[in-house]
Amino acid sequence: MDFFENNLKVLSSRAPKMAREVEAVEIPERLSVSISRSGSPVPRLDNILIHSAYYPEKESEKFAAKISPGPGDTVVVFGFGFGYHLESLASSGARIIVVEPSAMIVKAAMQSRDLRALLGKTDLISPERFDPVAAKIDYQKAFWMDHEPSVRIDRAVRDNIAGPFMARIIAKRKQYKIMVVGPVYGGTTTTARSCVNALKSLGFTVEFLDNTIHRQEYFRISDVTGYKPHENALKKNYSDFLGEAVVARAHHIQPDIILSIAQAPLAPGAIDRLKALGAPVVFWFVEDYTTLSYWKAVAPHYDYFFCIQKGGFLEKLAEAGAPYAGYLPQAADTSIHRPVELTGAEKEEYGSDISFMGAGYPNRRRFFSGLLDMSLKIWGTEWDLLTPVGRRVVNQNQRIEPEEYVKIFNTARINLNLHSSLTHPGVDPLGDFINPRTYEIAACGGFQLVDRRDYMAETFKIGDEMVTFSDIDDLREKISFYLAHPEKRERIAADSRRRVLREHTFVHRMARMINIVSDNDHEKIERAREKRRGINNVDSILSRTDNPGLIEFLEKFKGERQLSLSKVMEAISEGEGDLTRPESLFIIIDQILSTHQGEEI
Amino acid sequence: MSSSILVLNLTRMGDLIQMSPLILGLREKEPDCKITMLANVKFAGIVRFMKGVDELITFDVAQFGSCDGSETDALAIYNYLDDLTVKLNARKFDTIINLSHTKVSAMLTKLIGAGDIRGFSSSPRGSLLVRNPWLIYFTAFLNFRRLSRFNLVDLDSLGAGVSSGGKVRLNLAPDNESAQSAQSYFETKGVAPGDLLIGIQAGASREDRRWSPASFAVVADRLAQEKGAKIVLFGAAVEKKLGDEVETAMSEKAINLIGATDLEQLALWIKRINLLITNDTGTMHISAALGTPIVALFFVHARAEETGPYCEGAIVLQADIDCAPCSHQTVCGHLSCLKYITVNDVLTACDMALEQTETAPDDDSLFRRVKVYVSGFGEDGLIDFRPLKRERLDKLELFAYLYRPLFNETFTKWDAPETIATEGIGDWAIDDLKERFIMPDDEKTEAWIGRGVEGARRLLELAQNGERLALEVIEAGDGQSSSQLMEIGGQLTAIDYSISVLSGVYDVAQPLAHVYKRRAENFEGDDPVDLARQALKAHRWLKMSASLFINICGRALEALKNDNKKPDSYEITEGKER
Repeated sequence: MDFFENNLKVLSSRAPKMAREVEAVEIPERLSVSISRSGSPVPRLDNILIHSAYYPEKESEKFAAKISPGPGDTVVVFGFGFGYHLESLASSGARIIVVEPSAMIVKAAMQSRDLRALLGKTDLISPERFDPVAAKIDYQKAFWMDHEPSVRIDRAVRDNIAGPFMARIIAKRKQYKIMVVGPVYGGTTTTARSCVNALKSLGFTVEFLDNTIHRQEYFRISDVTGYKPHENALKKNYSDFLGEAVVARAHHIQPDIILSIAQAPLAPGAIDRLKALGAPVVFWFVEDYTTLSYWKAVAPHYDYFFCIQKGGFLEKLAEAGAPYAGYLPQAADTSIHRPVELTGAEKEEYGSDISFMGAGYPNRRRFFSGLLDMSLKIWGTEWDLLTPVGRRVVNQNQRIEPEEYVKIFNTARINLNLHSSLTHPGVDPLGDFINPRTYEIAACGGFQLVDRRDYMAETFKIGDEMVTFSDIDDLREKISFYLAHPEKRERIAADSRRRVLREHTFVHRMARMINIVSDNDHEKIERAREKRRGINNVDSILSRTDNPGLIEFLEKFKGERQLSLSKVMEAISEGEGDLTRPESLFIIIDQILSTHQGEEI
Repeated sequence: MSSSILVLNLTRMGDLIQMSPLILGLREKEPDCKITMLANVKFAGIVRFMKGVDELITFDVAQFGSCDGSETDALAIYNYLDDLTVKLNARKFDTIINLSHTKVSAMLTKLIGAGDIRGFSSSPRGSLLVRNPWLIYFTAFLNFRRLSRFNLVDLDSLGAGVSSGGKVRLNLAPDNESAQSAQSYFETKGVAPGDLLIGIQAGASREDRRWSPASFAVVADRLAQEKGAKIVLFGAAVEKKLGDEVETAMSEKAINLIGATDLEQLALWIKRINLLITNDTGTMHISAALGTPIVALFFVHARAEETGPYCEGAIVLQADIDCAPCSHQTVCGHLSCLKYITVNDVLTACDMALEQTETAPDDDSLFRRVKVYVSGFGEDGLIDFRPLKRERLDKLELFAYLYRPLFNETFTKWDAPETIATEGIGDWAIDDLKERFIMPDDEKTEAWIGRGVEGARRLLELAQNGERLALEVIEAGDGQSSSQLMEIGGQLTAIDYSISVLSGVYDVAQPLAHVYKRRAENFEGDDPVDLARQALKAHRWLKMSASLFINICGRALEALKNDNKKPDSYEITEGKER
């Protein structure tokens, strides 16, 4: 029997693109097929045995028994392998989606086994096609399963898909409310907003404390006195006041998780008071720890400290007493950073051979003087406009909103991306983390030349997805080359964008963060909820009463976590006709609880 | 068979005590009736001392409050309320009297249910319902306080359909056994039988309703030094700090009983002391009930006429300031009124109370910024606060005196307004005015009364129009189309609006306008003809009341013209124009 052709017919009818890829792919020698003790074909890729060398058929029931799904459920399995593990699952009645990154493994499987039945009962897709499918899943009834050998082959791919998926399940089932505390001013304000966007797109309820509304007042403090110590004291007092406002707000809205972004006005005392609410308090420090040292004071207070640098910094955090420290790099916000269509006039205004968008740090001011014989446009703030480099600043140091700089990224033939440095005149040879601009330009589909960074090679494929430079001469050479080769720019930009969308969006980051916090602290979160819910949870009340009138009355509030008296009063006021007995009694309760426990009613 | 009456009072101790005439009034009307009182557990102790109550049921939702900040169990409260109302409903009371103007008590009244409900209840759709005119007045009078001369004790009794006519006073009767053992108890506190004991209640329910602790301390020291009095400090445990302030400021020793007495012991002490100096407090009402002489200090939004001690011979000092009484919601930045009453004012009042005289020394420095009242009972049997100083009459006082007999008459005939007398009412009030006040010049009196009459005439006209429209609906019966009904409804609404506007333009017409408005807000039912009948009565009442008002004003004008009597005691001839 020609397994492949028969299998291909079925696959073609269900996933034509996948079928075409499978048909076209060559199977390399590193993928071999042997026969198991039970006589079944078993693949091996390099040194990874993808199924049991003894009885691969027995994987099926064991695999399905992990979750025992039924009709109405959706199970996403990472890894097709040769399909042995999917047989029972495919007969469960649930919808089975199988994500398989390797077309060659699928091909080998289709050549080796009759998979018609299995292919007919599952949706086999490649990772690139998962997003649109994922958008339609009911996460209340969704499950993720890993075929472990497949995960070992493609862990990164698996993580990139599984992360957001799991986070969406958490959002749907646990309905966490997340409070995000943003800074008063500075570059991290956009990070804060992007976190909010991402959390919302994952399905969480988000309360954003946007402290930029206090920016003007904060800066006005400088007008009060010219004596710096006084100014600093006033600013600290103001900041502490804002921290108290955060605590008060948290008490009011009772979040399940609190996320604080770098530069948020939260001093250690305020952090501790937030923790007393029972919600995990998470910090994302998106700064250079060697430049800003306030992390030392706050690290031991946060439950989770995420940062954009690893290695030595993580050790320092542990020494400083941080209970949890984890690496979480910056990202792109695809709701903002994306390809856009520009009008002719906009292309004229924002277009250039070479553009730089960013603040006028000393290293940039000096470094870009080496490009003044080129067609260079600069946008940003804090530039010395009277210098030759400063004369290239198009926007005269005015703030640029994201919607505008996205146009710059889209139209520049080459976007320059030089990480800021206070210590080096140009490229920082010790520079490790990757700035947000790298991801943003890539997500916009723009081509960039970025200075070398320690983490760049693990983040992007150098040469294919990203081009780096190490000094001014290197940069000048690459500018000339890439200006002359638009097709290469386009290809690299496209690959870069694909990489960012696959792995480096705020959705990925927030998913990872929430998954970690939920894995570690889901019980703590539930305990805090239980404590808040206490006895006035609708289900709790219903379980403790056999009063038929009350039960009937509370039916309309089922599904509410908390029996909110204001909701009850609202429902009563919207009712018609004479008050029922439960309504009358709740009116009394509302009056009593809104006074002083009946002292003077 | 004797009737069974449930009396609800879920408010404070002072309010409970002020209900005692009502209880005895009920008992007097029907000696065999069974009176059950539902009272807030926190203040229910005082009910034990109230004669006439057969059974006390405590209302205790405070038990569900948390001390550790944890959540209150809504289901527990629900079950408690459900059980309570089911049990009380099963008792099938003949009458419920609810004089607490709160949603809680109104809802409870509705759920407990009775054939005869007096006071506040709830309509089937949850709106506050009150039918009795005196209680309608109670809900309205805060809009025209300085035109009102009714005390809450009287409003309670009249609202409950029990008018003691002043024959029944506040009453509290501490246990006889307790009274006998009291003397040995006093001796342990260093009080001998003949000692002059003066009590001080320095606290009040609100910080802005009390005289300064330092001033109380000076008064206490002077009484101790000049009269050999022993000073007793009274107050609840929460007032301990305040009491310590007074005690520390005193140079003489005091018997500090703050937070140290239960209600029974407090009653015994109050009965024993020779005089109580107090802010407007529950202790003041206990004193009134037990017959202990009182010097009471009223500030801010407290007003002697409304909540003054319900007894004879109490001296009440009220700061004489334009902004008093202020509203309960007022947040005052200066509290000047607290400084208007001086130490010498209080000491003089104490002398008068101890000597049971109503004559103050002839001293211009006394009572300069203070109104002084002496409590008693008026011609109508209701409590009356007679001004001690004969001062120039102001406009609002004039009409306040005239409104008292008017409402006495018109409320008695609430449901039969066509029987309201339109003359011969209120002569005694006019006599009181002549006796108690220095009349302004004739021109002023004429202007005031002329304006008042003008306002009343316009109200009368509007009421006549309302009457006519209501009759139209009644006479048409079911034969009217909905568009015709809507048309008439619109016109009636316009009349109501005009009445509201009038009350702003003619301030002395406010009592009539507001009482009418509250009555209209308590119409019940949906049937247009029924509503029209209620509207007819309301407009008729307004019409007749306005007519009576015009008549009383006319007689007052005649009587008060050219009548500036020389003072018997002393008068303040300087003073501000009001």
